[in-house]
Amino acid sequence: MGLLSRRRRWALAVLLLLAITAGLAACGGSDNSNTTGSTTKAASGPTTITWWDYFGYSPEGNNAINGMIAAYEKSHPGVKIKRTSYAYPDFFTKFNQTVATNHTPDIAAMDAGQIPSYAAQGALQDMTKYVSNWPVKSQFFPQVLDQVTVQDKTYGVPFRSNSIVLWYNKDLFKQAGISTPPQTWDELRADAKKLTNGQHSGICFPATKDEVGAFMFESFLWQSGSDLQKIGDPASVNALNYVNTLVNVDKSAPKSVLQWSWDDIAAQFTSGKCATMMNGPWVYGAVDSGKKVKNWGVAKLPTGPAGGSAPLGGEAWVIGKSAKNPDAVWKLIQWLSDNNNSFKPIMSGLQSFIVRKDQQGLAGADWSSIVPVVSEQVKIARARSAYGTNYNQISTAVQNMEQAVLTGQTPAKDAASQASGQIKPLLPQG
Amino acid sequence: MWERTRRGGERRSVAVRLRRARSAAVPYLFVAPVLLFLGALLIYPVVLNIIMSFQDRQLGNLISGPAKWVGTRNYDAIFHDPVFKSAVVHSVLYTVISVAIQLVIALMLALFYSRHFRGARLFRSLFLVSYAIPIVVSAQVFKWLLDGRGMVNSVLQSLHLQDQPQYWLADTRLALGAVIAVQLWLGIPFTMVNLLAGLSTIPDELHEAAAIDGANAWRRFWDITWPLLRPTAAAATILSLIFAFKNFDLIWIATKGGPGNATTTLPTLAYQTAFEQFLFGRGAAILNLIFAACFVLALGYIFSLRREERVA
Repeated sequence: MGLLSRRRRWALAVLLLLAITAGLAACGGSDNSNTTGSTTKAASGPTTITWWDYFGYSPEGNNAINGMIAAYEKSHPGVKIKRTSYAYPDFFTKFNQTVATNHTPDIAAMDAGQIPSYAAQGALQDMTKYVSNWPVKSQFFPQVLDQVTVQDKTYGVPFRSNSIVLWYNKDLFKQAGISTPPQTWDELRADAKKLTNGQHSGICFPATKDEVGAFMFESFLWQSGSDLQKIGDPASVNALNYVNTLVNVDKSAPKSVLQWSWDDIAAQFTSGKCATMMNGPWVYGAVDSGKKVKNWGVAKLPTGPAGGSAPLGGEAWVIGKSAKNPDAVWKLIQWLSDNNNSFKPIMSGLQSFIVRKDQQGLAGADWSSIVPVVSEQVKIARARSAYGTNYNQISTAVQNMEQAVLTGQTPAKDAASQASGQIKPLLPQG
Repeated sequence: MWERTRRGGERRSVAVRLRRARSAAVPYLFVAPVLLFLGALLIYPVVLNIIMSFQDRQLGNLISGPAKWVGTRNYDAIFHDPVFKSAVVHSVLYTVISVAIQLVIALMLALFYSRHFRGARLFRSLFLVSYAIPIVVSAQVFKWLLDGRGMVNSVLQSLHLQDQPQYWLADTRLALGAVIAVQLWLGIPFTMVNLLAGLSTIPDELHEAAAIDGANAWRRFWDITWPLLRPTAAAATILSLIFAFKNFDLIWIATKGGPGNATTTLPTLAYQTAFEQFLFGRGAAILNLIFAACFVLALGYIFSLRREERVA
């Protein structure tokens, strides 16, 4: 202990303590002084709007968003927009944190499927008062508007839609002697069998233990004539059995579909290891730039006993709960919803599909050969907001049901009735 | 130091008394930062989590704002959930099996590498590579290796050990075993390094003396190496148990707890409950149970450390 004199030790201890309290105070203080999550309008300075999205994954998408922001700032000199772009899963992790600490972004581009849950968690501002007298409202396709409507209240303004389609490898079809993509469940089953050999599987679709798996399975459920409210009925068992046949009886879908998400499946398709896949337009870039499989096409999902159906996906502009100046954000959303300002960047830049009647026939929507097919699929796609605010828990029950059947743990009938018991109390009552 | 103070006592002035008071405060000042850190980073969240497990909290009022008290409803819900029960079983199996195998293999490797031979040090450090790779990366790599079309299958098939591919991570019978195997790959180097450190403290003279007395390698291991290594081994075991029991990233990235909940352990269930289903109270309840289990194990670690000190 002779190294430091008593006085020095004393000084050191005090310094350490000060440093630490200062450090803690800095952490705590930043919560209050941080303005990233709020619209601040200083008397002299401009209005700052914080903006979050997950469109940084492609240069085209990134430029499209930045271009719109620059155009808005130019035409609105008093407004500054601070954009942050996250990867899709990080977006939600970060967003959860900002909701908990009341520092949400002012505006965000959010997956419409997540809106009911976040609205119920108090994370989003109710936009009903803005939207109800807005002439553009009547232009939205009804199912698109349904996505952002929770108990008659509007929580978002859709700007982009998508759905799932069937992608097929034309060369492998030719080799197997199949001329057209399958139109029905029976045709899909027969074709997938023919397309399966040691080198490639006939059909790939995600059956993962997450929302992707649930999103995908709901289309089988609707095609068979069932629905989440009716799970346990013969049609729902039929849907489970159909999927199980593809995976475990015919083995034309590899068991890995229990693990493969959209990107994994797209990678298998572009390397020629899946002859067909059910996937969304968001993998267009990966498929289009694939080196190995050049000759591919898309078709509507095969129809089931109850006809064609698919889940509706897409994004909507939402106002975060911490936005202090929602009027300014609404002005921005109105501008973003004006086709003259945003149609081209959103359609060709973000590779989107239309959401409104007044967008039909506008130039700029035909950014790829897949547009006509996906647009047809979007027309018959269904929103899932009717499942209410507990959708995330319902989704878990659907995932567990499908995986229990595909792993052979539970027969389809029992799995469906178990899921029914879990889902019924979670659905909106009445 | 004492002497100086006593010598100063000859002139009992106010200044001296002040200095005394100051030197009495010094130890507390040194302890204060630790207490502050523990309070802010450990005790506060633990207490908050315990409170949360008796509440109905959502994202909107997660940190502040009023929340409804629901008594033990969150705990009732998890104890009646069959998925929770299977998660407990998986957690225990995962932890016990992986740590048991890990210890045996790590001990054999440590005994081997504690010998002095050319390249021993190089290989010892190579083992740490798996420890240096972020788990996110190794879990993703293993996910590819163990896929139906992955390298593990193609190697096994080319050796004619199996005629068709196994879906290591998509088959309920294989998935838990497969993630245990990955955990072994991650855990063995850590345990081995611990045991090597323990082995290096055993003096060579003991072995030499025993060898001269005619003790064979087997006797020397059981009568010299093992008794002296036991405290280190106990500490390594308990640390490995804690690491394996609370492991989340490896399983989540490799399987998300699937297929069909076959690899759902308590940490993955807690994550899913809190952050995917937004049932924060229930998630907190599961996390408290994990915390309690790890706390008991940590107490065991402290006791084994004490014993090690006494032996040494």
